[in-house]
Amino acid sequence: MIFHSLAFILFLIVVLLVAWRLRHEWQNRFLLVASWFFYGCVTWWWLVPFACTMILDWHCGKKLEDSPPEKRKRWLLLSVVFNLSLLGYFKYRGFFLENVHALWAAMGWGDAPEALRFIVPAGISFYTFQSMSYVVDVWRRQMPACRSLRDYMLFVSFFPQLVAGPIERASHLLGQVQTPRVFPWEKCTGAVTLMLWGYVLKLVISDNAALFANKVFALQSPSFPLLWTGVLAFAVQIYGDFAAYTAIARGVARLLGFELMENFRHPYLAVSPADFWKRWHISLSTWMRDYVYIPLGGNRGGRFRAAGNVLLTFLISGAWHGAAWNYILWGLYWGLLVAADNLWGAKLRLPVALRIVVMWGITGIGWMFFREQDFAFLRSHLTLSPFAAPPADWQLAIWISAQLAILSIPFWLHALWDLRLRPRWETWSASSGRGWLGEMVLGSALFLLILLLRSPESSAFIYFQF
Amino acid sequence: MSDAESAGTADRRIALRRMAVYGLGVFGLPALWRKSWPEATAADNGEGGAKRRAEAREDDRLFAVGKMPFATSPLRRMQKEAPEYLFMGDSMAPAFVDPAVVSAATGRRTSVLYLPASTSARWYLMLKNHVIRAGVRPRVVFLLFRDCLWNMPGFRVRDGFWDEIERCMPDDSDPVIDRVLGGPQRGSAGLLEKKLKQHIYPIQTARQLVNDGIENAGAALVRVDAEDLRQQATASFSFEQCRHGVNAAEVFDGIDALLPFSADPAHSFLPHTVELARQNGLQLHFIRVKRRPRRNRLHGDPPELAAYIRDMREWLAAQGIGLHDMTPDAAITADMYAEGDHLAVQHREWYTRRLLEQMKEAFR
Repeated sequence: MIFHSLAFILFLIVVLLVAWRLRHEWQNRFLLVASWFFYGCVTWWWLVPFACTMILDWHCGKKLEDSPPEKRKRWLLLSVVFNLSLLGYFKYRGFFLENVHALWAAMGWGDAPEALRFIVPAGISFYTFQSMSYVVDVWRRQMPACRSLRDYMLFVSFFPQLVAGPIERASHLLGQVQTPRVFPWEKCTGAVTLMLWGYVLKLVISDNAALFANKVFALQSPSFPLLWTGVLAFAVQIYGDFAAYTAIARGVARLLGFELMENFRHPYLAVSPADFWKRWHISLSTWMRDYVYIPLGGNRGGRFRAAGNVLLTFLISGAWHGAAWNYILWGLYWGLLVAADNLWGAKLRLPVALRIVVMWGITGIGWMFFREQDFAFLRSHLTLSPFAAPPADWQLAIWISAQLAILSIPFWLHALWDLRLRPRWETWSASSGRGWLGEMVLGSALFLLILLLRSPESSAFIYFQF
Repeated sequence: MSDAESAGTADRRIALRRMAVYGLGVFGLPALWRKSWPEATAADNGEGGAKRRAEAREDDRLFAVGKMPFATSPLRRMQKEAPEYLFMGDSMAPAFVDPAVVSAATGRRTSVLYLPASTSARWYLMLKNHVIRAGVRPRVVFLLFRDCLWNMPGFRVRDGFWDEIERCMPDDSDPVIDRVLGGPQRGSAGLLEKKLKQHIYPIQTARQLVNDGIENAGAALVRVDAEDLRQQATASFSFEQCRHGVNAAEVFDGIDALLPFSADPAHSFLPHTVELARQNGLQLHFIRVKRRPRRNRLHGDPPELAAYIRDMREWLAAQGIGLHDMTPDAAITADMYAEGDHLAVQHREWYTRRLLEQMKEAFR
């Protein structure tokens, strides 16, 4: 079920109406069933690996707490091996076989049988990471094991964030599952406004930008200006798309009495590669930091050892995104940039505005690796000359870029609001008690934007595939 | 009731009231506001917007409930191009046929009219409402299809596809569509969504105006007329400029349902299409496209499909209509295809010449 469908809105209304009539335990049971319906209503068998992950990790968590120290590690290993195997089987098996077959053919050993690719269960990368982090946290004794399978399952299955995050930590979400919740009377209007903001990001900004990006990346030989317009469009599309999912998820969760973590902090205002990753997909980058980078040694062992750890962490992060070489290249690209930034970034003294603009270029090249799956095209893109483009293409590119800039105005208004106006607004809102009126005006404007500027074509969220 | 409880109830009542006002404000204000939209902003838009608005006013169905507006651009295109040879079908039509090659070889105006992912319901409606309604009478209309699609009237007609079918219908309904499909194929959620959009918030015209406004603002920056830029964009992003296969609307792996051939007018658009052409003096010619030959799969048709095509050919022949089957042509090999069943762009000219050679009779 996708967020931007009438079916989901109807589903949400029913869930809200029923859930808030139930007491805490039954509410959790009901939310669990609703979450499973949300996830399994399109492809029921996705529930099978999903259930296996949850049951095994819950069991491992309990065993970790109950077992003597010398036996604890085996439960941790069981969980990690199982989760990574599941991910490997569904997500990377086809990729691995394709590469083996390509090698086979390259060695001249004849036609290899065709590699079959499974339909990857939606959100498998998200829920395995979320579930696995719980086991690691229990192993590290950072939190107690959850004794209720129902509560644990709801923590992993909670439908607003199940398919595309944020990747929640048990220390943040599990407690909210276990504690009785009260209807958030004061937060309701804010939650709906947040959802509307998410819908604007998806239906107005991202989907409209996708029309341009898809056209450019469908071209056989785009010129330099058209290609970079396509990259710009994709940058707008992917941020709008992913931030939309998070905003809607947070709004829905808030209506159900939960608070999910923030996943984005104006990434296109980043001033360095390391800063970008503190602002983009925060739940994944902090997960990678806590469960990959630090166990690898973090910044212990010298600057160059730390740079190596950064590189490896980003390679894994790239592979997490998708089973294709372009994602691995994308991870490698960012790993090198962040490692270089950590080593020498402090020496660069440039004005903030210039650093932001330079980061747009750096991020754009990254998005090209992310979007372009064909290496022959990628090579050709990287060798394009701006001087070879006909003037008509420059005109067209500026025209499209201007439209993208107009469509992106809400991004910049949001940044202005968040960074400059929000504190003053919150003070006024708390003292006057009329914040909801402002939310109503904002909500009305957002709804109008959706009505007027919704893209004629809408697609599924990009991060669903991961 | 204790003081705390009564205070809580009062707070809750206030919160409920606020939520009701909030809901009314968010979802009600746009509904009230939209009534004044088309006229209020008419003066603010440029020539392009005024032209589109005028077109919109001519077509009062733009504001009808539950029906997508009729797409008039294919109709105008047919009137402008007045083709003597017309190729119709889904995205495979432009993938296999280069109209410029046909025109050069025959000296006759040639066009390709296609809708990506379209099937027999839309082909019937396109012939009726975009070709015949345009007043053009091509010497031959070539209909490109694959396998059993003419006997799969219910294929790709629901929900989003139904919207596309409605865009081929100037009226709310079509008797042949009603007869074969048994009425609209929109799902209940889709219908509710449409009612909401078109009854409570009927703002297609406003959307058009806003889109025009954004395009015009961008055009002002480069000081070029927006209409010229739109045409430039159409040319730059045309099918010919695309990578191989990216226009594949939907790629199906394997063979469509194998049905015995039937020309039952209650279950197929084929007899209706043939009858429509006959009534309007159009000569039809069917072309079965060759799908990508796949590894590890049968070469040639399975027996059921071969029988289907044989029966279809016989039935068409009895109506005086030809059927050209590309599939036995061994010269079309798997490596000539781009994505899915679409011939790669570089082979299109070659294939069009081959088609001209193989179908000499039809082009006389």
